Amino acid sequence: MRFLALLLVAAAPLAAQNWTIYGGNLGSQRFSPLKQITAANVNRLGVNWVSQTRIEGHYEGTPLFEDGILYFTGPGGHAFAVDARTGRSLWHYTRPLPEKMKLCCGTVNRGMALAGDRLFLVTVDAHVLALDKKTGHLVWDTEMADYKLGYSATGAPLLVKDKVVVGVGGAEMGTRGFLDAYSIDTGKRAWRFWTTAAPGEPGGETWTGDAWTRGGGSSWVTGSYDPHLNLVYWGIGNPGPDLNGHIRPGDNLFTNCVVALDGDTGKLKWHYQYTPHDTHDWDGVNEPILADLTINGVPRKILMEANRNGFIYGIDRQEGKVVWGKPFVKTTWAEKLDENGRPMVKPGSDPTPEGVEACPGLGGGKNWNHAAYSPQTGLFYVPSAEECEIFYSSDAPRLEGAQWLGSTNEAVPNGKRTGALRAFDARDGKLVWEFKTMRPARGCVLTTAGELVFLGDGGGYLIAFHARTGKVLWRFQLGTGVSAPAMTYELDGKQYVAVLAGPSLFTFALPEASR
Amino acid sequence: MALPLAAQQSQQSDAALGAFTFRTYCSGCHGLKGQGVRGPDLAGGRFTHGDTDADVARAISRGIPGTGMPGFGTYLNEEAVGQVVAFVKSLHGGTGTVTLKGDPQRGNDIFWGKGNCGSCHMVSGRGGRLGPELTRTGAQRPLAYLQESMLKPSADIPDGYKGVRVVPRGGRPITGVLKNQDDFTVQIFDTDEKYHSFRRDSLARIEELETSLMPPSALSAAEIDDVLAYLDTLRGKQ
Repeated sequence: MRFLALLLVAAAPLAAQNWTIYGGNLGSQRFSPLKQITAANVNRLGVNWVSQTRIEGHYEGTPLFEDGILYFTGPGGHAFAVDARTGRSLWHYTRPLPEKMKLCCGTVNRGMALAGDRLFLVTVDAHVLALDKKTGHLVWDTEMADYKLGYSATGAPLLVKDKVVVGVGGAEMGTRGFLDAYSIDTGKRAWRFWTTAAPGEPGGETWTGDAWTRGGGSSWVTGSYDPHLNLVYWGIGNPGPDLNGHIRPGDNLFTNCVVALDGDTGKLKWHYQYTPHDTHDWDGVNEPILADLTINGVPRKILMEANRNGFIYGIDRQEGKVVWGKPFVKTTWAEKLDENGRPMVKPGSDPTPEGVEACPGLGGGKNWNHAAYSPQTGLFYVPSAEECEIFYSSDAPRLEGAQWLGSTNEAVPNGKRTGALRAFDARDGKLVWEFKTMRPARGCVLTTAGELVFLGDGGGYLIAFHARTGKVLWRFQLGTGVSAPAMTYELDGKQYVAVLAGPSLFTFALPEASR
Repeated sequence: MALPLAAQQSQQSDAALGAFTFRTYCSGCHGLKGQGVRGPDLAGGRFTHGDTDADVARAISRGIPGTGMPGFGTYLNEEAVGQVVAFVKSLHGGTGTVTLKGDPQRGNDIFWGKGNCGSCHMVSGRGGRLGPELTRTGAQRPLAYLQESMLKPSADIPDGYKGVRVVPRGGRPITGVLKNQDDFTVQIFDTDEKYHSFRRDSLARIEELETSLMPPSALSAAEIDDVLAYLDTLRGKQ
């Protein structure tokens, strides 16, 4: 019975006032239908309250909101519930982490999934947990993989019917990546999709020797789910070692792919590889955003994605065929895709011992920092980074559980590093507007039915733009770089915008007279 | 001291692993070979903040207050820090190409006299504020970097010292160094040592200068050697 109740919750349409899914909805659009805060009144937006966790570190999480309570995670194994009316703490869950961990990038955590009375999150030592949402107490704790081998986890789980789908990190440590699903009821693993193909399996021919056994392919950014097609869409990360392609000849499937998996079994329906045989650490993990569009009069089910490799894509998510794909930042390794959607790679782009300059840089044209799509404007909003780097290859001894980059990258001397928030027509990827930033735009996007787009900025601002024109309508200085995504919700008839910056959760609202 | 073979191999492995971490986190300031770029030369075997493994590990984990060295404890665990220490300690002989030939006392006189360096640089509370503070520069910068800074001041300009010229709408141009800026505002310290803060949309023009406000040295090669010898003595309280 409990199972059934949870199923019904998962299938019910989302109440507009809540934000109960990491990406705003199952299609990861980061769009809210709320429209009390509009392009006409956003200039009067002010701080409502600030809640300080007093736990230092880098915050990248998206809060969830349901029934007057905000739930969010912090770095280092912390989860919080605060009263949305006051910002006062309701509970604080802390999980001790092992002393010694092999981490490429710190102990960040990006958030939780919510189903019934439970919250689900991963920990950086590669466990997945269920907490009781009323108390923050642990319900179950399942080890996904042994952190001592180099596995880790940072992304928010995705609820798919009676399971949570969760990804792992560790491609920099010589691991073999996977994507897992766990029963929300018991924490028992329901399926696993290995992200590097073994010999004899489909894709196994794209590896040489035993390179697939430690071939990377992390799944560290949350994917999307189409309940009508019952397909889970998930981005798969770079092969390992990152920059030394000669150690792993072949296309290295399913690294740098988006994969479409059956939600019940985890079986592969289709894949598309953004960067075959990646040698620049251009993880294909970025969030797939789902939307139903009409292109040239034909209804299409589209998956759009802005990739670290510098390309944006519109892909038919039923068949996995590229509808359009083109660079969205300066891109030197390839300028276009062939008729099958495969990038036409220019010779001389691979790293060498002497160093080769390539664009985008290792961080990519876009990293995990989330884009958004507005069904209201039909625009795909992409935070973009314009930078080039020099990529070196070198011999790389591998030791189990240790970082295995096999090479390095460095900034181009006196090179310009800038960025932009770019709005593209989701039907064809045509640029509609852009707002140039002096640094690479590594913040996240939120869009609302109030014809608004919000962007967090490395210079400490939360910025509101007109969703159709890109005109700056409002900004607020939060005092530290804003990497985490903003989200929005309605409480007691009033719309709020919330965002994490530093160890603080900020909420914003209009003054009473403005409504 | 000859170590057992297994221990030698283990040390080599630590250093090799540390090399990868070093490239990722450290080489931007200390150079791919630890030769020092903007950050100090780590290959010369001279560690200002203590030269035991524990001292170097502490500097990496916690950073060094008052310098450009941040702490990496958030990113690197104790084991990874230990590997970086092993790598840094494996760098022998140094890579510096500049040797000390000058006389530090003559350098002192030139610095505060005909060189006019003190008009923009402060040492132990004496001097100007427009350029980088130099009280500990001998410990912080490789000699090659200091020499280059005098001969070609524009080769590398640290953040907070880049030259800028702004023209406010309907106002007089202001020249100074860029202390901070973001997508909407800019903060400038002018040549009279006054702070200004502008909204970008209040400016008719903003020019980030390609060349440093510091003029290339007009001193002779021997005088530069003397100033270099003086700068090398500036190591703060030991």
